[in-house]
Amino acid sequence: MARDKKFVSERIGDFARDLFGSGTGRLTLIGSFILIFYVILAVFAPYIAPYDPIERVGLSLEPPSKDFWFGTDNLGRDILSRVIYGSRIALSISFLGVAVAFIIGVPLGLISGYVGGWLDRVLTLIMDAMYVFPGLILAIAVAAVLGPGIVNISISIAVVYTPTYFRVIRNQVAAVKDEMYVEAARALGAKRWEIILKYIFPNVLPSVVVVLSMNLADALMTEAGLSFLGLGIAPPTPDWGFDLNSGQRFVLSRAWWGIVFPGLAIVFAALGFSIFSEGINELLNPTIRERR
Amino acid sequence: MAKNEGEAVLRAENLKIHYKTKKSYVKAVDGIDLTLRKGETIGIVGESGCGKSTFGQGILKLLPQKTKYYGKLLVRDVDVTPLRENDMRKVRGKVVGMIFQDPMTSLNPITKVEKLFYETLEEHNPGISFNESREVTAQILQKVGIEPRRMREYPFQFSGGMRQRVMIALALVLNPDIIVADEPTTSLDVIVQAQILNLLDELRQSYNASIILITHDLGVVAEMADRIAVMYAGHIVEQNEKEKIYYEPKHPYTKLLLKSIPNTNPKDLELTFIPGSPPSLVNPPIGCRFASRCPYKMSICDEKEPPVVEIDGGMVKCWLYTQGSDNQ
Amino acid sequence: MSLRSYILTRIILALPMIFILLVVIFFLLRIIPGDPVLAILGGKAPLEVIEQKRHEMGLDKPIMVQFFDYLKDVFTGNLGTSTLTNRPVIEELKDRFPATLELTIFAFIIALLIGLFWGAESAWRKDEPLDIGARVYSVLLYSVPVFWFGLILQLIFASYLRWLPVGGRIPAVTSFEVRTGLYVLDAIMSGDWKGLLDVLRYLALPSITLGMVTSSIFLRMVRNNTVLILSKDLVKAARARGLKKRVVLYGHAVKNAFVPIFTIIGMQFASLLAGAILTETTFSWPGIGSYLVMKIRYRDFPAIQGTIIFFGLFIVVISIIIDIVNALVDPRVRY
Repeated sequence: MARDKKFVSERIGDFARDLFGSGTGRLTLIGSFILIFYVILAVFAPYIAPYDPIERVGLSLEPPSKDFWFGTDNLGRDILSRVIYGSRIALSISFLGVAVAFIIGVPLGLISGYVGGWLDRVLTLIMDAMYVFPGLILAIAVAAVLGPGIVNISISIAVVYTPTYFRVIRNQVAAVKDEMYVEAARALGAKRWEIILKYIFPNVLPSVVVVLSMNLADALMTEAGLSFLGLGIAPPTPDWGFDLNSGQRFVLSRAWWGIVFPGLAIVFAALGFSIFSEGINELLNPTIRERR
Repeated sequence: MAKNEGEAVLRAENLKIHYKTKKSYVKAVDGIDLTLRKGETIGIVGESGCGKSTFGQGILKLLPQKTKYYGKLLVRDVDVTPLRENDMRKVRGKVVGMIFQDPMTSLNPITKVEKLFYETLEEHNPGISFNESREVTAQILQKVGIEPRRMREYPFQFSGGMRQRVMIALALVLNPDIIVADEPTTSLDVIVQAQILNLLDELRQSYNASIILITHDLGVVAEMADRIAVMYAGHIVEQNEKEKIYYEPKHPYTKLLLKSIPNTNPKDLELTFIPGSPPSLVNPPIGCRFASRCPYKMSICDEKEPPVVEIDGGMVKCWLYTQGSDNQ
Repeated sequence: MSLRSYILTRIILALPMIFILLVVIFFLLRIIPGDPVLAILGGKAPLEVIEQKRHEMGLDKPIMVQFFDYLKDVFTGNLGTSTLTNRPVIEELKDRFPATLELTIFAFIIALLIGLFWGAESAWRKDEPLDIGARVYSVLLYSVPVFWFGLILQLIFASYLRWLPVGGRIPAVTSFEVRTGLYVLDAIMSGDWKGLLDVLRYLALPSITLGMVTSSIFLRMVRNNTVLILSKDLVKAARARGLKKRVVLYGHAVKNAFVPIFTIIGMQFASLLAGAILTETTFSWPGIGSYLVMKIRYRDFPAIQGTIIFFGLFIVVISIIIDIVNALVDPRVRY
């Protein structure tokens, strides 16, 4: 049941490759441009954004104009500024969430794969069960208990992706650990943790980096979903998903700009991240697809 | 079978089949003449890539859509080269049946045998009932040596040899005049090979069908064929009756090909192979295509394509035999 | 193996899966930092009130005791009582489930139909405009969050064109008798065609939203697998027998292309379910997805836990059903 689960990014990457042919280099380049674009938006938001994103600066629901390129929302805030600032939340939660998953999943995977036996079996069972659950439902469950906030949402997302790291690492460690150089190190009297850190970890690192890059787009989509459901960041902090949460209002008042622009920000970011990770994947680790 | 008897069921006249790859056309079959008569078996032999399979599939126009056909290919006096897909469908199965190399991949493993027969019969006899189809299926399965009750099974439940029997039955069920067998025994083990070949030969006799047997294996054609056509790089370089080809080969390529057959004669353990490789069929050389590998190469061979020379009741496409003929 | 014993084996194999799922849900919702009681009552509640609530919810017992109580409850079909409505959670879920089932079934059908036909025809006409269109469609729809896509469709078809309702399922009083809760089925069974049209008008946008987003995955899988099969001899052999395109493509190529797709279709259904939560919220569709979101808003923890368990069980059941269908299509699975 748990086999063949693919990352969002991997799929989009596959799709993109179908579309553009096998120009991996080109894809990586386009992807990294998009990624850099968003990072710049996030870091320099105060300098780029024309207005304060949480202040009323115009009438409510003004359509796009010279003053407000993306129009204003129901509270008269500038949507362009909110979209720009929104990249901060989106990026920091995706990065933080993936980082936490990495920090928990990798050591657990290393230990489980290396030690084996009883501990390994229990951990694998648990992680598999989590893996079967659709990511969003799992994240919703955890976010419901934790409540809103950047750290809490990051943890919810981390819970979703921890099993991914665990599985990748565990399987690789289990495969690597009986190889000759590990045997040799053991024969020379190296300590267990030394073997794990010095000999095994560097070997599984490339696959982890690939998974890391692939998780970003997933985390971004999950974050958008969570905040759309009202489980993300407490208002009035700008957040793409949450800004769409009030979308129903925009629908009825035909304020298309309130829906289209934050949504496009998500779509564009997801596309960019995926294309980027697809490139990284092939550069760093051309065989990971087959191995997993 | 005596030569030049019986009506011709298939005739290729300067047939060319060029199929498209990404950038260019591969001239896989590049001007061949061949006549197949009723009840006759012609073996087409050659190395892989010589165009023999393209020819086989070209008879039924099974090649990708952008493939180009030039010249004539008469199947029972109808030129099929200009036919479109819908008209071609009436020829497929009904006039020409086909047997493929690997029954593991050519027989849909997850469709019941009876259904495979039913859809084939139904296509050419609209309105046939499933029960009627089953009766026909039972008869033909019996003929190929499969218990009729096994028609309720799926092909994946059959062994390789049994699957090939099903495939043969499927190719014969509409009683076609011609059977194209493309490496029908290559994927089978030796004992099964012999059984399948015997079966094919028996069925040919009882149905009075003609067979085009495509193979790289000279042993296989030796058993079954009446005549042999040797293909090299898109051309038929020599064709004649089987005995003539085996005992008095004319074309240098045929000679070398025969020497490269492993045999069990202890005095003749040395195996020759033909050095070099066939030319690219995208831009074939202007002269004889075998010239670069030919031990008897003359200067003209690189300059002009050799003509087809009638000799000893057969044909050979080689400059070595042009002196005696009048056309030069 | 007969089909019946295959089904039996498959169900027995699912039992440990369900058990582990229950264990993980239980500990996940307790191990992570955060106190449901504090969350319910807010940080300023007096200590006695907090203790009282803790006792009510059984949270003062040792964790293993809590765990066994929980297991016992789940296996007797007791998913706790909503702190908001004081009704058994299982009852509330039963009321809401048909709406989710109807939405997901229709979305799944839409996704399958688009994926199957467009994917197969694209494979047949590889690299022609239809195929390129399919690829553009896949990459775009897959990068689109389902809730945003829903909003865009609402904007176009409900707000601007006014062809379809913005959201909701149907007016409170249905013109037909509700027997199964699946309104489409109920309307048909009552022979109420006007009612059926009404039901379909409400169902259209949510199911198309969820179906189209999901179809991008199916489309790509069907197309690529069919392209692969089309290059195989079994297709050439089928054509060599004079079969028409419809039979060659759907009867042979797509049928074989579906074999690898089936193994991951269960996974797809699970993510469809996650998408349903978002879709239901977008369209105010009264299913268990929007139920869950509402309960989270009111911090109704027994209901949240119950719903998550329910989702888990639903996913397991679906995966069993899909495996059985798989065994029907591909007999090799059974043997």
